[in-house]
Amino acid sequence: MTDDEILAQIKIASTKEMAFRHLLQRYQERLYYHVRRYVHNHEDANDILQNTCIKIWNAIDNFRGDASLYTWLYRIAGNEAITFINKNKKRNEIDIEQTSVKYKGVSDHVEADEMLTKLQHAIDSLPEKQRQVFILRYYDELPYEQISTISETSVGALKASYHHAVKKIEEFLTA
Amino acid sequence: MDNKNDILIELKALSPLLANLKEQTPLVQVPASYFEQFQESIMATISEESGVLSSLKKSNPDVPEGYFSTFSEQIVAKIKQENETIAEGKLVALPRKSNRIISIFKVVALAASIVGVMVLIKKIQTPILMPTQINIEESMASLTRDEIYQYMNANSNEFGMEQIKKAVLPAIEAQSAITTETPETPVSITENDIDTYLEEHSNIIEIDDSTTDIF
Repeated sequence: MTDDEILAQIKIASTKEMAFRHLLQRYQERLYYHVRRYVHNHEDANDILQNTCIKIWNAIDNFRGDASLYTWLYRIAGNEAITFINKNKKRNEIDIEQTSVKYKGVSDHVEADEMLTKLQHAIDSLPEKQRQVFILRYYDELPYEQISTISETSVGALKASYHHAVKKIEEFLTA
Repeated sequence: MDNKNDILIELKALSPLLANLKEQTPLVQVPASYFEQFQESIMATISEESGVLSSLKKSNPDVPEGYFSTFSEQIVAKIKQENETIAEGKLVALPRKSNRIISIFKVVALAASIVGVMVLIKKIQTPILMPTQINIEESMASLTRDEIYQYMNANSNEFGMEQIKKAVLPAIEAQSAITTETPETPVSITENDIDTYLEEHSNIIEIDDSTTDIF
């Protein structure tokens, strides 16, 4: 079933549930991994994904198809993740602070898993927009045009944000 | 710069460290059969929420018994009553709500008026400090004619003809008075008489001489 077919079936009450199950089947894993980059554990990612899917169900009737279904789903998931993080900001800040102290002055020869944990915290320390662009580009490997549709930002601004984000993370990792 | 390889090249150019980390990034750990159960979990939540919503929609709020059966009659009766009141001319105007902006403006205007009046009263009570007026006539009286003539001679270019005449007039009148007081001049006046007269009134002649300097 294609995206267009899913959308057509979703608009019919009798086939809505079936079509929505197809949608979940197709996108649930990608959306999960996307939101998992924003948060540190599975439980938080699951909460965000649940909320995302409920929102998709409630709003899908109003989806006009101006953007592709894929980018629309990513936008909802990203917004949910940011909302979740902002709600739990204090907890996240404490996590970042502890990690910064822990890894301060570590040489270039740290273990790879430690470096990856540090990378996660470096991403957390980025401003909202830079974090979103970095995740979509670095992990989801999306072209700038699609990121532009998801984040409603120009391609030029996105490139600048991505470059800034990469440089900041590198500084964080080598500090 | 859209496919995975291009993205990696871009990243290597920006930060080789991050590009290296990306290659080492392991897959995120997810609980077993999470995605298999996820669909069912979501659909259960949706149906639960829908169930709650549908039950809320069906139950209506409590209304007094017989409210709707008598509602139309009550409305018609009220309309009739209002029409009768209008016909009898018993319309009562609702208290007008004052405009808040206008009210504030009135208060400010009143305050400004009070301040203005206070400033005006203060100004009236305070004596106006003017330069001391000099009584010119008194000052002039204290001067001798010699002093006046000398001053006017020295500053003749500062006075008009009328001013000079006015200043000279008292001297001329004084001279005329003296002349009238003198005994009547004999019809035949000799040169000796004139010389004698001139010698006697030499001071007046000198004054006349000084006045001629002005002209």
